[in-house]
Amino acid sequence: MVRKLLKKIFKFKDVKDIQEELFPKPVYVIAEDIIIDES
Amino acid sequence: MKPQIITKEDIKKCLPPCPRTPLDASRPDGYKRTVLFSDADYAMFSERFLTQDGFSKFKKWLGFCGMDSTAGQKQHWRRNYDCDNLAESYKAYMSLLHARANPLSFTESFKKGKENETKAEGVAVGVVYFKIKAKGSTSHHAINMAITKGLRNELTAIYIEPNGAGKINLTKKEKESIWYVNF
Repeated sequence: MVRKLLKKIFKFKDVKDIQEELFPKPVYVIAEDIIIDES
Repeated sequence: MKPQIITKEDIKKCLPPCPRTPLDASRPDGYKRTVLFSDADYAMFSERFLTQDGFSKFKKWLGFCGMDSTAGQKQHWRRNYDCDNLAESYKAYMSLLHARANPLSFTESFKKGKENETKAEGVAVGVVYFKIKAKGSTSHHAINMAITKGLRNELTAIYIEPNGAGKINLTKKEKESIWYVNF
């Protein structure tokens, strides 16, 4: 909590922040969406 | 719901036709195209993610690595970091996202009783090389091809220029000229 507050005040980023900023969670095509041609 | 997993056979069906030429007749497969697959199966990212959200973060990541975008046509291009490097980077970046999103090893998964979102070994983003013909000259260019969901929920290949433009269309001739595919 204190760390969060300090980060907000001093606007610094730790490794986790940078990772979250640079590496977003991907959006997958889900199984129900797709029709595969089996022919 | 689980992400769809596809195989190399599914990807092969999405590749554009590659007509035979007399020059290629001597090759064992009769085709001028080399197609490589380095994973057993693949998950797919949505087109929107590949060309918008994920793409903008890819560019940010390049900037973080010191490969800043410059004004004008060249964008991230450098003589020592050109189209093939950019295409390999985009493929590697999307693989990183896939690995980060599915961090559990088989043992961890078993011990924790949790599962990754998908068991797919790779993500369906590849690198392709094709010919560009201009007046009196021919050159080669590397870009990315990704397999994703089409408008009618079918598997479809899209082309991505990693150096700034995002999703692009190739002409029929350019598609047919693809001579290297690596997924």
